[in-house]
Amino acid sequence: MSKRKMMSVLLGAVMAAGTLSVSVPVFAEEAGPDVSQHVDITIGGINVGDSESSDRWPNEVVDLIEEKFNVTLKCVAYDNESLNLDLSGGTTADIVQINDDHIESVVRGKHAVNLEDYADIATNIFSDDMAFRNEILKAYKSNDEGVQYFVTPRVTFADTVINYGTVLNNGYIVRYDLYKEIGCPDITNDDEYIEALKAMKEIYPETEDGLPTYAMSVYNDSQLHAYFYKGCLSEGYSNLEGGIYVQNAVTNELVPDLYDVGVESDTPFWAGVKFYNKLYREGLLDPDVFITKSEDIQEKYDKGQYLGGVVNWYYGNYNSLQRAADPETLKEYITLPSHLGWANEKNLAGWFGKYFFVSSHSPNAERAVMILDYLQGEECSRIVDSGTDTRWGVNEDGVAALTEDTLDLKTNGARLDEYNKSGINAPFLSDMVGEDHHNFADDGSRVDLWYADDVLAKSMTFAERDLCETLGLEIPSDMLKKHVEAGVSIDLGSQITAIQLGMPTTPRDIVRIDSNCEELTLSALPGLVQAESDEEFAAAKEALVQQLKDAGAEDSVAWWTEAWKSARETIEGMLQ
Amino acid sequence: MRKSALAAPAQRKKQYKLLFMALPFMLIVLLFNYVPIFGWIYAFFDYLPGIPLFECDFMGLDYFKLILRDQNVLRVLKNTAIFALISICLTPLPMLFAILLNEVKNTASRKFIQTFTTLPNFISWVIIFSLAFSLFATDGRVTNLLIKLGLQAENQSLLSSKEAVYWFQTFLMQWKTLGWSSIIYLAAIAGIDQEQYEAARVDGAGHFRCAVHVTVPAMMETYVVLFILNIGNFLNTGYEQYLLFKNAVTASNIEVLDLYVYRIGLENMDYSYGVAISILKSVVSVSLVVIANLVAKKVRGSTVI
Repeated sequence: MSKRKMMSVLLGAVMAAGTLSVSVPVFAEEAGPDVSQHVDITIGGINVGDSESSDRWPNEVVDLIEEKFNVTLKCVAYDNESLNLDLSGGTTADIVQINDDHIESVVRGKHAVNLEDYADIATNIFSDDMAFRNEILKAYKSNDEGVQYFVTPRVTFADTVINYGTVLNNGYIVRYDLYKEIGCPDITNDDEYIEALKAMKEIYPETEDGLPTYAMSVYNDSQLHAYFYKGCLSEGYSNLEGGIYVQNAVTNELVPDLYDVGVESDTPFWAGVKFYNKLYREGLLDPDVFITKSEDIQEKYDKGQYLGGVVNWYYGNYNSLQRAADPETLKEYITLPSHLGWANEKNLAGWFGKYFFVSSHSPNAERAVMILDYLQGEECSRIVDSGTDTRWGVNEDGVAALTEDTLDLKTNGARLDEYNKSGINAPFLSDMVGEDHHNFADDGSRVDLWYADDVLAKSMTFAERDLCETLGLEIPSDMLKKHVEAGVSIDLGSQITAIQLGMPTTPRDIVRIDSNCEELTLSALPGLVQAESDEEFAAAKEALVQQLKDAGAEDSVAWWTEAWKSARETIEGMLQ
Repeated sequence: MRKSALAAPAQRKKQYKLLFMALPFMLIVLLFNYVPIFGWIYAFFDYLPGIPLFECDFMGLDYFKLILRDQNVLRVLKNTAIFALISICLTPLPMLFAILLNEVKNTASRKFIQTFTTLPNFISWVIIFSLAFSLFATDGRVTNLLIKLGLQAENQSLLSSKEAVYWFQTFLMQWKTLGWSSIIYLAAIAGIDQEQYEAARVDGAGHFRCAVHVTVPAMMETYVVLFILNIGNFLNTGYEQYLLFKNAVTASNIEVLDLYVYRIGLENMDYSYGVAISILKSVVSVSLVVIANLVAKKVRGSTVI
């Protein structure tokens, strides 16, 4: 080899080494933060379940997240008491989910990291699609400096077109086998629903085990929720937390729900109470209506003692068990649409009342931010809703779709355990991920593949298919579509949920008044629900309204009205 | 003289030993009864959990003034007083139970009854609530029995009866604590000189007269001490039982002061106001004990504390 040749080889080697030495840091930068050390990350929150006591945890989705970030993931339940204790001691979970009651404590107490400090690893949180949500959180859920501490789950993107899903969640619930037996009457209002319940009770006065049946009961451990939520569905409102004030789903006006002086039509609470009063007078209401708590209601649903209901929280177990015993059973609860179909909800700033932050006390704050960011992103939202990529694939058209096996997994009662382990609609995480089910992912499919328009009809149970055949529908939620087209029902499409996020923190004296009004109302419920005549009902209502007035309800109404007006103007301005 | 001088250090040493033995208990009292008094300071600030106390707004006596305007305080005080009065009226029950138990001569039966009645004291209120639900709900076993006997109308339940709140809750409390409360009286009975019974029997007294003229007088000292201590606990009704049995029907009657403080402080997160009400409760309790002590001195010639 000549000297020149040797020199050129040497030079080439040096240059190559130089290039390599430059490219190493670039590679390290692209690879992101170091996750080589295994750590434990805990997510704690109000209304979050305890993963250790769940037989659906861990699952395929959790395993995937744990592997990706080299962590062990755990969820812990917080109530106000335990959360406050942890906040006071600076010992909160790494990622915490709070509601509005705790915002001030967290921000003033400096318990949350500034997410903007981690902007380089929190690319999902600070993506363009989340810009409106972030703007709102910086303006209303922060300190005066407009720092972003929180993120909300399930943000609907502006261009998302929402469908109603396969089935409806909340509305007029019926036991399908009995509903079919009475001829599937059309139900468009409370009176028709009560008639249907009456007819169902006549043919099924007691269960196969000889237990008495009732139309429904009330979950008393959620304060007034059962009453105002029932009314929200029949009157077209959505509730603010606590239900003392409600938002008109069409006009977005705020209406005082309990102290309804000056409100022309029935507010949700009063409509709800009237509904339960009618049930009582017809002898359809569970006589234990004032003492049943969620676990009692769950037990009675499991035994098939209730013929109807308002929310879908309690009958899932009954349906699963019935399907496991007989895949072709008609014994299932299904939901028929009420006046307001709880669908087409556009949460442009995410869900109200659920705010996630990374604890500033976390020894692994960076890893926690990475996980929170992952939860916020499209990839995680997809796997939480649809399962890991073994449960779905990309077809010839390049569109992501659930596999036939996955479709069978959900509806086949015999595969219940496998379904639970798959992590599809993963427990706890489902309420944490950043994207709305209906958003479109980069691959052109919906984030939640169960909401793909061509899948809706494939994920029905036998009873649901029978319902569709009987009523001439493609999918059960078409009932709502038809009602909306006929002008009988509305959906949440016109509601601006972000206004609720723009409300300032409620002053302590107003909170006291509201809490007192809630307590007075709770105590007045027996007199209202068990009123034997309209006159008796009116007298009980008049007495309660006077009590509310004495308790300062008018001061509360004045504050809420003013605060709502201001928040609405600002949010509507931001949306334009 | 020399003997007593020698005895004094020994006695002092013995007293030091006793004092030393009492130290852990004094420490517990200090930790759990006196140190928490520092928490009273929260009543003077607008405390928010998670924010250091001295960064919270100073409120002075505002929360104490609020108590005077709060109509609920009167209601819950009334409920507390009713529950307390009923339980004070029933204070002789454990003594009576101990006397009756003492009359059971079969040792095995007596021990069984004693164990059977003492055990409920260790059952949590949550379990008792579940038990009560299965027995007293509208389709509960006891309810069905009462309906069959014509003592209760259909579709009614003791758990959702406003009128029955006071006596029903007291019944549950008595059922839970009777056996446990009687232990101290059983100990007092064991300490009675048997010669007194023999003398009474020689004078022709039967079981009943022995109990009335020997057992009861011997237990009166214990009873009075416990009675005065009970008065000190007049407002300390606790809240677990009432929290569990509270529902829309019973709410206005069952809410006692402790439960109200729980609701204000922990459910509504209005900690400072909750503490202010607790201070009021402590002041009333201490006053009651002082008054009871003075009454005891007048009546018996000696004080308890």
